[in-house]
Amino acid sequence: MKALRLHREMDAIWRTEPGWRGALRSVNHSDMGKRFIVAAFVFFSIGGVLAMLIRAQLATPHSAFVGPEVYNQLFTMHGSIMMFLFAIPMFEGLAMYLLPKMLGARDMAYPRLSALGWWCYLFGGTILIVAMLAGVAPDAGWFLYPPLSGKQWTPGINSDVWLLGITFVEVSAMCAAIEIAVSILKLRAAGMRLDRMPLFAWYLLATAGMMIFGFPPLILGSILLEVERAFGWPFYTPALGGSPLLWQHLFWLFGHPEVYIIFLPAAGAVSTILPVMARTRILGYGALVAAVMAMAFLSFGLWVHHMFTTGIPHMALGFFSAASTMVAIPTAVQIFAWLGTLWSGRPQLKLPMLYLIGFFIVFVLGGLTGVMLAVVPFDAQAHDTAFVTAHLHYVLVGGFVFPMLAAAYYWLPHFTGRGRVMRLGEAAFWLIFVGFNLTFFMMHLTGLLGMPRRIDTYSADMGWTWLNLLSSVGSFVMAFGFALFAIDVGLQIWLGRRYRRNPWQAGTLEWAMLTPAPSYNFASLPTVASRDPVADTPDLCVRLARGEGWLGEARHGWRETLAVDMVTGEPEHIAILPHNSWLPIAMAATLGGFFLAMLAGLYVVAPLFLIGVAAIGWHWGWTQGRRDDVGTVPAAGDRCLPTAYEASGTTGWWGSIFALIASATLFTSLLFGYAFLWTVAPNWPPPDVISPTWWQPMLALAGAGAALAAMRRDAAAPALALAGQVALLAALVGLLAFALPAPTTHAYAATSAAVAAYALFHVGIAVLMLAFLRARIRAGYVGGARRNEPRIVRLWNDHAAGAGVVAMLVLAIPGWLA
Amino acid sequence: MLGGATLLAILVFVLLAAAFLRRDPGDAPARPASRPALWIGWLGLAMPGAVLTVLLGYALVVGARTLPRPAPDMVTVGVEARRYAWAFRHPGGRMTTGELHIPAGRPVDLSITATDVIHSFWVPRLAGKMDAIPGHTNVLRIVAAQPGTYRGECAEYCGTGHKDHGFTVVAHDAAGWATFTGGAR
Amino acid sequence: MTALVRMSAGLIVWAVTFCVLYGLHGVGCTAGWPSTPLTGWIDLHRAILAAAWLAGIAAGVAVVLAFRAPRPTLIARTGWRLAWVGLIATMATGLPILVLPACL
Repeated sequence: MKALRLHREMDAIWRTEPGWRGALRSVNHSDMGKRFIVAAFVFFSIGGVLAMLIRAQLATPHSAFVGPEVYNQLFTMHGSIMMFLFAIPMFEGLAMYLLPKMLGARDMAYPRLSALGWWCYLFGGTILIVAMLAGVAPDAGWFLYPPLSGKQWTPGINSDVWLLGITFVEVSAMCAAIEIAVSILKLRAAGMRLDRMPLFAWYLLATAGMMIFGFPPLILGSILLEVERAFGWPFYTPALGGSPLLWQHLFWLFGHPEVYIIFLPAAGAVSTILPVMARTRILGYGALVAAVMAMAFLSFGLWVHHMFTTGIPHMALGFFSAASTMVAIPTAVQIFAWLGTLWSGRPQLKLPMLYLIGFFIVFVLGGLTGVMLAVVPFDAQAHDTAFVTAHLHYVLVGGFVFPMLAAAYYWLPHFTGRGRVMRLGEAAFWLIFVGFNLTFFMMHLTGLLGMPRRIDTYSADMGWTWLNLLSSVGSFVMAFGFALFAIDVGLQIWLGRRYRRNPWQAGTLEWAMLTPAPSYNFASLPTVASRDPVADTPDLCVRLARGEGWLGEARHGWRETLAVDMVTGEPEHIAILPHNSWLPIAMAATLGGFFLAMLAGLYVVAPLFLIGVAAIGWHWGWTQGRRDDVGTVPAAGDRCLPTAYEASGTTGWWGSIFALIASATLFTSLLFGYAFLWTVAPNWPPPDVISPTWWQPMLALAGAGAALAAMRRDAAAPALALAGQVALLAALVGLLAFALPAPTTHAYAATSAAVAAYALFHVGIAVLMLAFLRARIRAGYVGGARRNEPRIVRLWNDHAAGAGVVAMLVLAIPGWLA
Repeated sequence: MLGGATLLAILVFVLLAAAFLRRDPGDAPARPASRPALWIGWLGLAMPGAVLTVLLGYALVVGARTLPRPAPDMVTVGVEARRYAWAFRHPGGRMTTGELHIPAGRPVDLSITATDVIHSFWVPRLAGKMDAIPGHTNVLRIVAAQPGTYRGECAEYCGTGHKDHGFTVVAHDAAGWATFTGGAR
Repeated sequence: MTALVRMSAGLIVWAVTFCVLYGLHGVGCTAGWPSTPLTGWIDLHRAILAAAWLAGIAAGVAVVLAFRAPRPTLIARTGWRLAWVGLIATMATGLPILVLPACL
């Protein structure tokens, strides 16, 4: 009875309200996870239909099924949807749903941010689909190379739809990345040392880190291209000192890690599911951790292999060729660790395992062609042909889709609490597997026979006809397979019989709860002493439900979960999470308003939405915190812990650290772009550089110095820091207004203005945050042991001061030297 | 490379199949994890490391051979790509559209650029491809061993006319080349 | 957090060396370093890049030595493994300096 009473009390605190109101206000990670997954699958279906249209067009020579204008939108949208609206959100959803459960926590670190990410994804994706239905979908390829994607050659809003819509969705991805990283590092079960963490968490930690460093270059490049298109700042225009190569560098600096960002979570699912299917433990946990970390870093040294034919000197290409071959080694370590696991266990050919076999075969083939493409002289022939299309589908479908299908069947009993209805999954597998290979294997051959990418038709005398027809037939077979999968899953969700908990007899914590999962995951939180806590304590589920773990009481209406030391898993404090709220959807809608105003060319209206964002952000921050100290509260037995209000190293603080790292990466990319244009772009030196100037740098240094000094001690002097930031702001504006030439005249001026704009953006945020802090202090939210808000604001204050000084020096130096 | 890739693929598939076929299905207790050193050390690290190092060396050496090093009998031709035609400026000043003329058996350096968007110059039977990027000039070395006609295509998506953006390469013997260029070497 | 950063030291050394090599290569080709021969096959560009590469290898060796005899924790053992990964990756990355002409 205790378990039932505890369940009711917990559910009262954690549940999503019923009906539409509840759905719009929910911040629950299970809700968000499921929404991401379902929406990702819907986008996958749309992308799949586009693929079938492409294959219908390419099935025969001189095809008139669609003309080139439509065809160009088809393949651009197919790629963009699959990469941005399917793959990333799919694993984000899986991570959001699974991580707290696997780690023994009640939710992710920032529930309202999870919801914000969901709404941004939904709204941004909708913009793209609506544009497609309106016939103005992006049509310059999914990597949108300028000058083709620039204003002159794409005068319509097609490219803007991509640049604004995808950037809107990237807000979602950045939020998810920061949240996943902090949740894995801080919100785990007591005693869950890093080496007792499920491997899935290690994979996702690496992925989150890669996203934090990998997405900012794309966001920067997109902002620059949109500004070029909207306002004429010539970053990518050679006649005015820009270079199309800058876009390629920025894009692929994101684009290569992107495909590993897609692969690693799927590999994490393989590392989780495969040992359970083989009824043993994974072979080489430590080696896999090292392999994952190695892949995460090495993948950032590969990006120029997408640019092997752009005329970059061969020695530089060689660096990237070397790294591209080397990255196959940690991949191989994982493949053989998994094979070794199968050999050391008793593998059963259950349905998830069948899809994992599909993964092995298809992904390994894709990896081998990838190593071939790392050889520069071979790539010189195969680049931009159907061979590359074949390779990328083998690694992405093999390395992501097959594991996700396996994961779907593996975790469906957890999502739904139900079992399978018919044996459609096996038929679906064979159709998908055979159809896939028929479609894409042929493309290796057509590519080597000279068929380029992105042509809307071909002539009958090229010798590509039969191969294309077979590819097209294969694609329809594959489509039937996916349709069967969807039907099978639908049947299980709605018609499956109630099923036992933990049907796979797995050892990870997500199986230690009722299925489907309650809103709070665990009525009390476990202590773990090994990597398989459920195997150690078979009745763990019952014990936790009775409240025998940590935080086993529902009190004060608080949504509590445990925050631990990052490495040792030693409990540190209690995180108090926010309740359901209108703020996420309101924020997403306001952001959407900004992006739509930009898309419509209403550049005067757009900043008003940003003011709205700031206002909502202020309210977002205001709703947390307390006016009085609470002290320590009982956490388990006679152990007491402080709450997050009065602790240090909180999720809020770490989230700011990761957000600032991401922002610094964007700034570094911008500075790299500035240096790149100066050395490589045509038509330099610019006609005008900045006039030599002294008062702006002096004012900036004074202001930054004041701001930095003023925040040295907790809550020391936000007013002084505010004055310092305002001075810095004035200095930067002064530089832009009086010293720099107009940004539309040359890429030098445009990039300089962009550097100043970055610093201004951060100074603006710092001004807002310092004003917020002053208001909070006056209202009594800061005081006693509650010192987190000044600590967090200090991070942003210091970053703005630093960025301002760096920007000022970078910009002023050419003036002094001239 | 194809042979090596096939062997590696077969190795992985055989190991995968054997994992399932090795023993009768049943509920015997799981054996302890077997020999990480073999799987991870030898198969995961040493074998791929050795293969890839050899491959990398091969790649660098072969790649070096394609480079446009100065040669005494070298010929330089200017190439300009636009939507949707190719313009060629030959030694001696003669310009053509859609047809590139080169001497057979001699190294030819193509100075490639574009006037509008990015294109890519590709004659599969003669060399790898080289992008034509506005504002930049890229050099591609091609050598036609025999006189004859070779097909070329644009290999970078450049808009609705991308598929119709091909060209021809005519490789002349020495006499034909002299005729074409009006005596210029 | 610092424990995780220290664990990745080998890879961080590789990443920094990679950036330095790529950056120096670009700067050197623009500044005309290859046209300044020093002795025989070695010109200014190759000499500078080789020096940077050797510095990266030396740093990589230092990280390996720092992690030698790791304590039996996962973090320490992973740091040891990643130190080796970084060192070998640095060695492989710089091979083109020996084989290829600088700016063609």
